[in-house]
Amino acid sequence: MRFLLALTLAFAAPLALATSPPGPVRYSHAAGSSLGFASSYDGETFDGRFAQFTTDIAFDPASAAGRFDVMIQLASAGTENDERDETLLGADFFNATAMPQARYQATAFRKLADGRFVADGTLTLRGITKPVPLTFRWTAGSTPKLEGTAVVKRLEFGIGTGDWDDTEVLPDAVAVTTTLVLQPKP
Amino acid sequence: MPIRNTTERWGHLSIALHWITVVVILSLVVVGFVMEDLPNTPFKRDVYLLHKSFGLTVLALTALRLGWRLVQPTPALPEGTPAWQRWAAHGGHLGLYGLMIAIPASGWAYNWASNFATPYFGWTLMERAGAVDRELKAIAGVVHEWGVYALLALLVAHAGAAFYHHYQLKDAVLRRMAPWLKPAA
Repeated sequence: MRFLLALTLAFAAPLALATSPPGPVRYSHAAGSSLGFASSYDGETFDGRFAQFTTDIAFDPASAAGRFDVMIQLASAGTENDERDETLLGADFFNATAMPQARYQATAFRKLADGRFVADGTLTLRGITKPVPLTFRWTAGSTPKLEGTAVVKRLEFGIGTGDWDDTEVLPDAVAVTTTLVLQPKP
Repeated sequence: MPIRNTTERWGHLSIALHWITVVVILSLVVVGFVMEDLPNTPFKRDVYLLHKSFGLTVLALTALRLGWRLVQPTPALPEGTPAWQRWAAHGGHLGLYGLMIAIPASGWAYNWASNFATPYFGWTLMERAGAVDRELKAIAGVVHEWGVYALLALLVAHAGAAFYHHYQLKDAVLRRMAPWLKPAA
């Protein structure tokens, strides 16, 4: 009996470790979080937000180590203008029907002199993966807060090429801002 | 010919406003029906911006025409015009003026409810609302579209009545607005 118990523990312990590795707590975002973007068209600024995205965040500010994995539902993008949103989700831009999700992943982090951090991550959008650094402030606590900004060069991802490629009218750089109110994953 | 109207004939200003409005409205109607189905490109946006700008021009011209008409005499209908035709003429003109206000105004409301800024040939006449108002958008869209159908019906009656005066009654009613026409043989 004791042998069986020992045997069970011997096999179960590594299994338990595999499903729940030690290290920083993994977080997902809670209410009050947002993921937005801002640009302009023909001199008129507009901003939008993604209503649906999922986060899997682990970060230790002391060692500036962690792992970000964010899945963004492109069809949830909205800019408070139905006509613009239709174009945004269409084939020339997000192509959300064919490529419903964008993904941001980061495993390498740097600490800045002002106390903020940079995630040297990659964004996958329309099937194209490119490095996109995310500069963020990490407010520690039981429900940490992440406030980040990034610049996404839309043309690197084939967003708005062809008829829409005039960067005088529609700039290449899109400002992305996010505020994540984090809670430990269940 | 004087710029002012008399009880006999239309002056320059009324004639010019009438025919400019005809050209602009007919162009707007054609473009309006075509532009909806254009692919989503910057060209479509430019077409919409022009449609909006010219539509607002119709609104302004109509306001000017109404103002001018109120301070000016109006040429009288020919002696002996039956009462029902007088009523039809007045009602028809009232309808045309009303629609020339209601159609651009509903287009403007639709634009506002869609959270677009109001453009005027490269200028911003009014900033965007900040939010989409889907209820107003739906109402304004229906008014705009059905207003155009009503306008087209009235235009047919209006032109038909003008030709009836010119070719059947052989009076001066059409020539007062189209002075380049010769009297019908």
